[in-house]
Amino acid sequence: MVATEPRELRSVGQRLKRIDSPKKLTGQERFTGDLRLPGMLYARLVGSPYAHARINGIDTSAALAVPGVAAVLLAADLPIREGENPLASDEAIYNGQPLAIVLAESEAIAEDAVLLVDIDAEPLDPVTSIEEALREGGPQTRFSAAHVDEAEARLHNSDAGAAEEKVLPANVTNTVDYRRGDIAKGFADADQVVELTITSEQVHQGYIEPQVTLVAPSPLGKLDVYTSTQGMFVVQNKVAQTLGLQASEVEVHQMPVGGGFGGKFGLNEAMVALAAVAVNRPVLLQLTRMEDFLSANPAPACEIRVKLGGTSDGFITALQADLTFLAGIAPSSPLGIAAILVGGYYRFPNMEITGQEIISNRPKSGAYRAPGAQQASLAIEAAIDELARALGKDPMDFRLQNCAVEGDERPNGGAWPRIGLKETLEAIREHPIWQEREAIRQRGHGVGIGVGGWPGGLEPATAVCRLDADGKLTMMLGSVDLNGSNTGMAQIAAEALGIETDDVNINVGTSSSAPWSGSTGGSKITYTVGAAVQRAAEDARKQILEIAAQRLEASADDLEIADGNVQVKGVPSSSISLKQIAELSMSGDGGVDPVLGRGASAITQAAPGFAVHMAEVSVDELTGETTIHRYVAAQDVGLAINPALVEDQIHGGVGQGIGWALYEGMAYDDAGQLMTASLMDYAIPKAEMIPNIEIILVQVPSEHGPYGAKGIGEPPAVPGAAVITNAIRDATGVRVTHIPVRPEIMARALDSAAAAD
Amino acid sequence: MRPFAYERPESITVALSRLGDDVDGAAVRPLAGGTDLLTLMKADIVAPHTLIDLKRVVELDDRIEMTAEGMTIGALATLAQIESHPDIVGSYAALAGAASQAATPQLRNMATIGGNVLQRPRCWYFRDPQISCWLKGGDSCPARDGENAHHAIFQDSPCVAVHPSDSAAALIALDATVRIRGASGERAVSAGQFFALPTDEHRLESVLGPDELILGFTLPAPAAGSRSVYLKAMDRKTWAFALVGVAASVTVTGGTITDARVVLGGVEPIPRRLIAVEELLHGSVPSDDLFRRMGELAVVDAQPLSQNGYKVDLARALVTRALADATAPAG
Repeated sequence: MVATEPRELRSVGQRLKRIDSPKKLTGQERFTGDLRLPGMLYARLVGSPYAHARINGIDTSAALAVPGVAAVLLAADLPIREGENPLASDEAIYNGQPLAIVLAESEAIAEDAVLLVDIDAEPLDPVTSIEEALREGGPQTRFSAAHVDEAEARLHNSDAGAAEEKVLPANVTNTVDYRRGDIAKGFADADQVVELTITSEQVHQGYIEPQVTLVAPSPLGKLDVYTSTQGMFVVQNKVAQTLGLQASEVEVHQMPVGGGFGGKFGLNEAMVALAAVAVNRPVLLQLTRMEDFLSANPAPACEIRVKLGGTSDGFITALQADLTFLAGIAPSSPLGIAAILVGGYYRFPNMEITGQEIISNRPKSGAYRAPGAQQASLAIEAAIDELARALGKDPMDFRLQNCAVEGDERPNGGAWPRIGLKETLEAIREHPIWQEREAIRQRGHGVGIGVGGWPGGLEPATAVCRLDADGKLTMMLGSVDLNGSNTGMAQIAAEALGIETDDVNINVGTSSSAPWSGSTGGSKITYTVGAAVQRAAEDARKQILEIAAQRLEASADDLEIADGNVQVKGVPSSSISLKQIAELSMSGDGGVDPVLGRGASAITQAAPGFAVHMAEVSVDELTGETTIHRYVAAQDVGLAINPALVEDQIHGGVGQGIGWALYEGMAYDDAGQLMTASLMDYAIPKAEMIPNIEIILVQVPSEHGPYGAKGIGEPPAVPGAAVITNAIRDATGVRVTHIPVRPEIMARALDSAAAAD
Repeated sequence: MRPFAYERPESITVALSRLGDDVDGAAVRPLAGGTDLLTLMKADIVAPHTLIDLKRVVELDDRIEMTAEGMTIGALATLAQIESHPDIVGSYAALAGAASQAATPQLRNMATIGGNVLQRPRCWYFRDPQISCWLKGGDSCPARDGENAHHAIFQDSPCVAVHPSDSAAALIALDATVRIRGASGERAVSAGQFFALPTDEHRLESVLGPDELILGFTLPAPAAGSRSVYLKAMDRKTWAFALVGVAASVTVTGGTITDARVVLGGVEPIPRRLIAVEELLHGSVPSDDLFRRMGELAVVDAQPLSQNGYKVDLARALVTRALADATAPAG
């Protein structure tokens, strides 16, 4: 569809409050963990004490003797029909891996009983680091056969998962290899070459609400699944397959999500369903924070080596990059996305990108808001900054001279569609902080910029709407609202139909009743479901106008919808209200069909989104502490359906980027034990660590999104670490090559720089 | 958490009579704010069968009183009360600063000063019930050759955990006295003597007996010309234990330092008083150069572990900065 000019819009583009806010702000929202059902049991997990161990036996007798304990389930007790057993039996392959489920009448009883489950286990050598994984004759992640599950990667991104078949070393599960031009000639032509190795740690999505699921066998024979998930239909299929049920026998009730960020694509639902069926009672499992750190699906650690060459007239001649992701126990890293983005932001006439994924004795990796993009941006943006410096170029001008525009080729083939990278860079260039950076440097502060891109996600979607008896519209959806997106859906529907946003009711059904929709992730909900909503509302409009045309004896083309009425254009006296149309369509003698609008979208061209951020920082040279004074985030959003909510997303993304940059990292010791299994040890940024964030919305419309909108969730979380490390470089002259830049790491880097002088 | 009984006596005699270890090692433990004890119980590091709540004991209180002799602080005073008390803010800035930089507002509303100085280490090996460690009665210290970025840089104990209390360092720097009550009566111990490095026979960080209670703290009236400061380096700006903390109290009379007490936190199992630094400061004229040399002296005996060499730099820098801050012209 063709994008409409913003000035013609009434609902779209308005800063409206989130429709879900009142319940959340007043504490009325009911999350999964708030639910209580008659006969419900509380589950607690018994986790593996070792990262890798042979399990010789599990004695549950003492736990079963605790009053109030209903059952202690082991792998063999679960009525599993297909797929991997969620409980380990012979071999434990990560610290915290569930070995048994205690079911009890209260959470406290279950927790007490967990301590009494006796595990006879023999520790084995674990794979805990890239070095160990690649060491000749080194340890293997498991002595039994590996299990591969790659389906999830495709949920996040349309570009991922293209690795070809070949024989790989043990512990290496995936590789990428993208080449263009003549790499040797590219470096030979360069006046300057820079080379960096950038490392980042495993991080957790840090959602406030831990993973939580309640499964209840219904008296009508179905299985009711109440869960905090980003993908209702993914869960439905997985639970049905695991238990050998028809999909229609599993009804998933998507509950409000207290933060997902990629981490909630069906982690524990099948396990809880198996437990509920095993004891034929409702079972609630809400992970403790520690269990969530130990056994959920964090984002993997990563090492990227980048070599970049350029000429003195400011052109890049060659990029060579090698990426290594340290995934958890199964192939699950965003290697493909990272490789595409390392080579995607700029024009690289000669290019060689290689990469590998390694598995280790850690929990399976998961997606975390723009999976792979943070790591890619950090590496390429550091190298671009260094190359600009080596060439004596301004880092902004250098980026503008080399940045990708529509038609430039991407590493995996295919050209970029119309993208707003250049426009977004220009928006930052005009900002006073960039213009006044010399004066800022005089104060001992530094200014850094960085690019963050996201290819955009795709998945088909449907929406259905009906005109209610009161003349308002109910829009029925099957997608999950993670961040206020349903408010945007109401605005899109109101715009397409021609009514007020308040007169649109968004109704999200269960997996049994809702129209089908893809999962929420990859920045695709507004882009794809929004398009379906627009079409559904347009379909309803067409039906409404036909009914009105009949009643008003006018041509439908001459009608308009205004103020809740359908009227002949410019003749308000000749009108019929939407309420009258609804009543007519629902009355026995009305003779007109009830209004039911249908919309679907199966967009095949993604809308890539780009953010450019800028930070002013200072570093305490004695303690190594970094302070962010000002932060500016510019982003091409296509068109902001609701600018307030777009800014809300950018705020959150910047916060997470700062977490990656300065604070967050999951530390494992040599034995594969997680050392940072609480929010005290794992530092998520607090309010006072986040500076004021100034936002600039750039609007380069997309071709296929509703009213030109693009996905906006991922990009703001991408550039943070690149921006802050570039700003630190500007302030101190020191290039930090590891994140998070905790004070100790910064202090060490300052020391080594001083020693080298 | 394992089940336990809860008692709430109103007399200290009753409370004291209940405290201590049983023959089988199970224990009766006092409970005040609970901000450390409950985390230890939840992690299954300690498993007392009975908790004695001290909040109703009439002989224990949360009073903060300034007299001509100095300041008295009841053991039940919360960190929130301490950080906001005008006399502490005005005359004992190191203590107010230490209290205000600890934990979070919610925790400071609950945590008492008596409990704060008795916190057990935050070493992640100590806090993991599945890992054997020397401090918990094991044979060796896994941190010494393990993940030790947050651990001790002075090696005077088999344990390389660090003391987690910010206030403890400040109380030593302010020459506080700890008032203690046991079954046989009351005793007073200087804060500097109250903390003791754990040994094979006594794997704890203080001299307080299992059947004793802290009544409160007494701080001498500040000398004319004295100032104090507490600086804390953290790996984030709030809600973190000190990577390195330093409390310094310095008296300058007629342009010369006449008294100084300097204490490092986060560098060994107990706060580390820098006697050699204090002696050299005595009689010296404040200068940036002097303070730089004191920073060097503070870490001259440091023996960092594989991952915590940065703490030596932090300690050196913070000592220098704290001395400068404590002697900088007012205003």
